[in-house]
Amino acid sequence: MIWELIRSNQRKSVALFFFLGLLIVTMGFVFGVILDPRGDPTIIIFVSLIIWLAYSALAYFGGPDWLLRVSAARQVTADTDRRLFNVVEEMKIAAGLPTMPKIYIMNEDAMNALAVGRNPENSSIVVTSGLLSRLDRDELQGVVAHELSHIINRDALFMTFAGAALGSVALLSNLFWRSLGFARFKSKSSRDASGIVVFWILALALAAVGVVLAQIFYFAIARKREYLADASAARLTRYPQGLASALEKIDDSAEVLVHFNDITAPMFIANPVHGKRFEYLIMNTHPPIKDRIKILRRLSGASYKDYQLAYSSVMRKRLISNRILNAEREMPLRQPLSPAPAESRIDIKRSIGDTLLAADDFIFLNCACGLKIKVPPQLDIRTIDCPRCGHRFAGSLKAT
Amino acid sequence: MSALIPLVIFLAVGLYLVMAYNSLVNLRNQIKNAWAQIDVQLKRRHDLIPNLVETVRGYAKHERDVFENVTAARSRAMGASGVGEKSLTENSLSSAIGRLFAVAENYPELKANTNFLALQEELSSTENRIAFARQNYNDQVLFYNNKIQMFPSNLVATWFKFLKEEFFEIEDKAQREVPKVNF
Repeated sequence: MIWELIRSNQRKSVALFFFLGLLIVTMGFVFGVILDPRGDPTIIIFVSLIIWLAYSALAYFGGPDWLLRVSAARQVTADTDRRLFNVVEEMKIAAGLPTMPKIYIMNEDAMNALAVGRNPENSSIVVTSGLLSRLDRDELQGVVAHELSHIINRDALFMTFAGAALGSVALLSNLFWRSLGFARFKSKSSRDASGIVVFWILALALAAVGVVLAQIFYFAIARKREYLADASAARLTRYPQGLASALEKIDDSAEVLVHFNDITAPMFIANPVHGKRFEYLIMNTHPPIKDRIKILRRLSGASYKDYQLAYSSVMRKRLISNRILNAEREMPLRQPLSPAPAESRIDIKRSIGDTLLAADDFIFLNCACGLKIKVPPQLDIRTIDCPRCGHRFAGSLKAT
Repeated sequence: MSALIPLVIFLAVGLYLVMAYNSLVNLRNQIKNAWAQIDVQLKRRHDLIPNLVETVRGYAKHERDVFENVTAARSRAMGASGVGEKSLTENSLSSAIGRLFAVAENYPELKANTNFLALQEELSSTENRIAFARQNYNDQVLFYNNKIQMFPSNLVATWFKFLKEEFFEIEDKAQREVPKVNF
């Protein structure tokens, strides 16, 4: 059952956070001794823990909104793209979720998607308009199922807390480097200099290695969860070819995502940071997309057992524990969906773009020559000329 | 001291009984919930059909038997009760709708009608929703049925009369049969 997987995920997250907590306490202790050799290091340990706690609380309560703002994502209603809304609702039903996730669109040509939210009751799915215009129904369903799986498996929550912990580790070592000058001044006057030197080396090692180690650990888990979300998506849709072909299209697309940063990058379905040379490195947040496609294409059933089988034939190692696999039953794959009504996806992309612009108070002018002029609200002018036929619009520029 | 051992065993067995009973009740409620979800989608489909028939009729007046087929299948499906009967009537409604869309293929003007396109999107999504709700329901039923047959939870199940639940079958027998070809 899927609950087994969530529980095993939770155990691994607890291990990571235990390691990070230990790292933060040790850093606090060593820094405390360096900064004031004769003082009590518990104060600095306490301060480090407070920083961690504050960071985590901030990420938990403000994280989802912040993420959506960074991504410049806009919430849409069911009518903006009926097909997207229907696909999300279909997947919500397949997963047996009680509430419908909110749907956001990023008006970007790049093809990408991400999931935001701490639990299934408070979650959002974000897709780019480039993705919507180029995927067919089966492919879109695969991507939505992958994102929904991130929410069900609590990956979005994990990413939030891991990001906060990594942020506080980085902040601590940053603070430490800044306070070094102050520490050197003090240690000259102290007598037990040799003991301090040992601590110095330890502190330097911690500040440098600690951050890198924590990141490697975090990225390893993030990569694994990407595979697990693929496995869960196959299980939800019973049609892994859809997601596989969506990933192929994403891999082939040349457009680059604009709205993302270091913290949001690991959360996307495909790495928004371009540079395929580094695909197999240990510091990568995403597994190689070609491997993911190869595994999905090899599935002969939709259960975790089938995914493990395909995964080990490609990667030569284990992904899902035996205890979860033993609880699985056979899940045959289904046929592709009957082709949806033929429609021009380019027109749909344009209409999505217009809906988003209308939400920004853009004014639309329909010229007699057939051109639709989109006027930004900040434009403070009385007249406007049609760029194609030269017809002059005057007076109050109101939407027609 | 030795009097404590039977007491501990008694408490442990009692605790197990309570937990097993509660988890069975929980599973049965989840099945009910999943079934309600199927019902919602079936109702949604029934509501969409009159609109669809009217739209298609405006362009393809001569396909009367196709319309009558859909309308009759719809009223049969709406009158059905119980899991077994519902899966049968709903499946024949599915194939009737499929034939209607196949007929619509012959009318290019109909295929360009935005109202028809919107209805087609809604109906095909409803078909998918029914399929996924059924998938979820059948998963829950299988998990529950396994639980009430396996030791030791089967003891609790028989004691409190937890009965096997019915699957929502995937297709009716007519669709599985090989079509007869006359030469």
